[in-house]
Amino acid sequence: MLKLCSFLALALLMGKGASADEGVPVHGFADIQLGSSNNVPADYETQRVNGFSLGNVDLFLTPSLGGKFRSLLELVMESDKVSGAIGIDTERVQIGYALTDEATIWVGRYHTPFGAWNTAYHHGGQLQTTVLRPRFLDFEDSGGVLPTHGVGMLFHNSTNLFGTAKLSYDVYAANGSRLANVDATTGKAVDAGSGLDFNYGKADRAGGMVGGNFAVGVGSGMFEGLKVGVHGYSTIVNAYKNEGTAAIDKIGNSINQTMVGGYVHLDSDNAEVISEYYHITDKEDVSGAVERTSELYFAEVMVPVGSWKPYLMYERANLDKNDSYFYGQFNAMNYDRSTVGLRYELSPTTTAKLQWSATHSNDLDSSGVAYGDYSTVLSQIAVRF
Amino acid sequence: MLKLILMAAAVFVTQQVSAGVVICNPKLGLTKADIVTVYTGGMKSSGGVDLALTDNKSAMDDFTNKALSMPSGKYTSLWAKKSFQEGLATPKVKDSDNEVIEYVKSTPGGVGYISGATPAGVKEVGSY
Repeated sequence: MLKLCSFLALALLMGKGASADEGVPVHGFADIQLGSSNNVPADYETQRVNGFSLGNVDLFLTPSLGGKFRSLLELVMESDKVSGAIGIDTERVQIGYALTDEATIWVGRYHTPFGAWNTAYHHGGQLQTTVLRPRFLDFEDSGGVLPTHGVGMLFHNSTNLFGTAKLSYDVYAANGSRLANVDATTGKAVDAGSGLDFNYGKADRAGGMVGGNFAVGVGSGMFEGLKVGVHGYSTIVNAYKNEGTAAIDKIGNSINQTMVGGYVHLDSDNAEVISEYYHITDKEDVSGAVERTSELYFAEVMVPVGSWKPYLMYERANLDKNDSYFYGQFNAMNYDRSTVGLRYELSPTTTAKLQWSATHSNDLDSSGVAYGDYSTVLSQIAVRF
Repeated sequence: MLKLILMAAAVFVTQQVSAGVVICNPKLGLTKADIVTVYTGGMKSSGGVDLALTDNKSAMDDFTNKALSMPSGKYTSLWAKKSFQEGLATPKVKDSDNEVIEYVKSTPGGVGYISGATPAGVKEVGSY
């Protein structure tokens, strides 16, 4: 409670008089959900929906630092889906220097710039068409299997190509991630706390993660709002037992990981299309190790009819479960999910959504039985301010 | 009857010419062709001076519809995305023409829009 009060007081201070003139505008997002789910496997309690739940309260601000310096601060309060406990997270802390109008170099904690969804929507529930993110793109602490956050450096630039077409790109370097809380002998995930940790406080080893995202976007004409891009990163991931960070807690071999993929994002008045593909190659850092590959992808389409926005989304994860990277993540699941929904704009800043999704998985639970199918009906009121 | 027609015509003409203007600090080299780019976040500086945009509550609907060809809801949504995704500062919001004029005069990169004529001490970028 004290943490919550301190957080709100800090936000008010930022909004009222932190700068010399008129304070810093605080913007944000909040959402509340109501839903029900059926046949959710016992192992995936975080996927169960029953009654009302708080989404998150996200506050972000972009204080002017003077000269060419930029900043972006984002704080999130979110409730744990299982325990209900509210946690406060410094979601983004970025300090940047604008080299030109288009080129900025940032340091700090940022949203990893792969695909379009992760940077376009992230905690901005009101911005994204659907209620939920694609499951495999969930945040690391919510069961996502990709490093959606990074702590390090990020360079963003864009340049005119021809007409209104622009090339935009991000190049980044970060601490990289580790697998936390795996079994000390086998390296297997032991409970829901076994998953990715993006090394917020410090890198767990030398090396880190490097990556890039290159996209061509169209500013006008028939394809106004279309962006087509490629993305990728390279990193080394180690697994650790029981939240350990010391080298002696490392389990098994280091995993050399490469992700390459591409995406399409159309964001226009007439339609929204967003589709992303991730191809992951993992190889343990030991002679004779097998190269293991996995694929993850999704596609979402929405065509508005006035204020009504019907949408469809399909997502799929084909993971090699013998890959130590996924073996050590409790929520790494082979699955496919179909979602159909309807979004309604109550005002430019307030949105209502209703969706139904069906998830299928042939993965086996701890007793050797396939998870099978489960479904979820979910509604949401989402606002931005 | 003729009087009535003339009066109606006068009102119509007045409405047609009562367009707003975009103004900026005299230190900036903006032109009318820059208005859309500036107010959609595509131009962040002019002549080495960082732009400091301001919105005008009393004239926003008229400005976004006529100058940017979009409703004000779409305009604010665009800036919400720009700010969230790119870390850009959203335009400051002023309540009236006078507040905008004072801000533009006193801020080296100041840019704003007003519903009246261009006052002394600021530069007219273009009408809409």
